[in-house]
Amino acid sequence: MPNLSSDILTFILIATNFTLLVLLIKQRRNSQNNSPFSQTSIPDTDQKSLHILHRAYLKAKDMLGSAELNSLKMVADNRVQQRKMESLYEKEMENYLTAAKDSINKQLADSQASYTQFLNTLQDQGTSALNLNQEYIKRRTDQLFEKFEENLSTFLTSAQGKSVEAINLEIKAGRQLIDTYKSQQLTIIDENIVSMLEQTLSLVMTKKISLKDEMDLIYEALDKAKAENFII
Amino acid sequence: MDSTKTSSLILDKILDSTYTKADALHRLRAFKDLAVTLTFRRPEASGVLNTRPKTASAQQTPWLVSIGTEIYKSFDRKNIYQIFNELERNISETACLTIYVPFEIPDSELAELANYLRKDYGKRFLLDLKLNPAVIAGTILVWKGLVKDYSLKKKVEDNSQLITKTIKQFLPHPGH
Repeated sequence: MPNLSSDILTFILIATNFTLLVLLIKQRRNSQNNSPFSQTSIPDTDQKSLHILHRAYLKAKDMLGSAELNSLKMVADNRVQQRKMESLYEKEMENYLTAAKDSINKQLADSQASYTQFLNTLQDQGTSALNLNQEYIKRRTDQLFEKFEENLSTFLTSAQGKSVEAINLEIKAGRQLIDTYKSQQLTIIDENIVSMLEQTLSLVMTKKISLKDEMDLIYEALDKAKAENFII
Repeated sequence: MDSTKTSSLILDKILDSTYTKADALHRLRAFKDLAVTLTFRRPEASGVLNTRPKTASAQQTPWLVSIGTEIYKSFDRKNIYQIFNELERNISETACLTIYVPFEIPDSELAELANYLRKDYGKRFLLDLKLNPAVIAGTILVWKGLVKDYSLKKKVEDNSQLITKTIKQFLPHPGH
């Protein structure tokens, strides 16, 4: 950096001298055009101007040489400085890489440890969750069985009641059927008794009753019909 | 003689010795056959009475002979069918008592029975005998669609509960 600032300073000095030179030339020309006595004083002025210019040239040349020297010196310094910087950079870079490698290795080790710990924690949690689930399933299964037993008991009680009721109804219906059957059979027996009596009477009367008795019964029936005004 | 009087006279003659509607119609058919034969074969009529018509049964011949020949003179070709149509209608309209009996009544008993009824209900009264062995000791009468059962069977049916009860008293109980 000191080399660079000296080069810039040299350049600024050269530019300043050149600017002063240009201003002096312009001043001189203006004074020649405006003064009534310009025709008489030109040779001295030119002489002085040339002298000044010559001195300025020499000065500028010195300055240019000095600047060149400075620039060369600056370049050399710059190269040396660059080498130093490169060396320093390499060293710093090596240190940095070493530190980074160490840091990464450390972070990796930490991560591995953390991951291992996480896995262990996860395993513990999994085991715990598994145990909890097993316990929950066992509890739910027990509850389910208890409820099933209760429902089964209720259902069996209800079914038993319904079965008893149905059996009672069947027994009642059966008794009614038996009573009806008994009544019908008794009626049939009664009818059979009457029918047998009628058949017996028919057989006996046909064989035993005489024509006269039969005719007497017919006359008796006709008399009843007359009395009842059946035949009008 | 007009046809109405003739048919009335013939009906009386039929009913004199006929007591059932079936016999009356049977007798009328036989009489009609003979009368038609006599009416439409007048030239040969002298010998017809000696031979009974084809449709008349042997049972009807004595009756046909018994009514004499005078009655046939009242028939001619114009009135004969009118008279017999009227006769058939009169017999159909004659009062008829249907009697169901368990035995066949002999003709003599039938005549006596019919005359017994004709004393009260007039000469024009017929019987319709129906043989029914199911009728026990007595008879069932049907008059103008009405039925009256005077048989012993009816009495048994009317008193069946009492009879059954009485008989059951003498029967052993099922449990004993």
